Amino acid sequence: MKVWLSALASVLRIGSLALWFLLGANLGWTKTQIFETQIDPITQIEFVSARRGFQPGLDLLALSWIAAETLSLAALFIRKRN
Amino acid sequence: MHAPRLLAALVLAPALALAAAAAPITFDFRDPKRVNNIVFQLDAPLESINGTGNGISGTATFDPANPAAVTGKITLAVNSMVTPNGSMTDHLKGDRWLDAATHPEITFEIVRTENPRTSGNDTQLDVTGLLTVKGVTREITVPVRLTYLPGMLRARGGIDADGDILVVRSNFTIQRDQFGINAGQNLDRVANDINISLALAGLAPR
Repeated sequence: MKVWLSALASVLRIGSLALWFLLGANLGWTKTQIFETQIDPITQIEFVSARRGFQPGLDLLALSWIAAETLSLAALFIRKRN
Repeated sequence: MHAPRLLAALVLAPALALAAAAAPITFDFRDPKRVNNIVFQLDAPLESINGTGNGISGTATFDPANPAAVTGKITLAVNSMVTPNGSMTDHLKGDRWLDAATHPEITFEIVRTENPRTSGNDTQLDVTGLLTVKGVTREITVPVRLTYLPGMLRARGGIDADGDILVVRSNFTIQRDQFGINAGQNLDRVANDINISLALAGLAPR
């Protein structure tokens, strides 16, 4: 059980970091709207269109790491009880 | 017998055409291409917020022969405003901040213009108007650039008609405490200064 919890914590740590990095390494809050800048050719107006998307931010990374640390602590606790 | 009528028609037709060409034109800012937008940015010590809104409507009357005589009113639907974070967008529209349910629109109505500088189809001027946000109306003066694009409507697409386009651009800053938007609260995360950039195309089909 202890091994499983430790492994799960490691997967969570590495997985969340990899996901965060691969989806843009966003240093702000998690984004659920992705903004794209375009230019209207005649008026030269630069406008931003928003589309639904997902880009994890530091908040989600921190939550994942807190969850991983909690699992690690739980693993330590189990070892002590055994 | 018909000569006087023919003569009158020949004289009046160009005169009427000139009068029509010189008349002020009313531009509608409800853009079917949904290009019209405002961008807002707040830079607080702990958090930077940026977003956009494209629910623009309203009209402006513009005379190419006298650009400084521009009048009109522009409206932004608060519910069209979005930030990159859905939860932040919900907070923005909530009763603590813009209260979209009670105050669904932000409006700006031109009162007067000053200091016009025209170069070709471009006019820069200072526009004083009444800005209403969250039910609070204040008179502000903002720099505005107007670009008149005669006969460009069909080429732009979106409307299948000949006509003109008036492009309005402006950058200015307002303070949220002046409009009762959670005044004095959360200043470390939500700046008091709101930087606003707007770029709008008004359309006048003939």
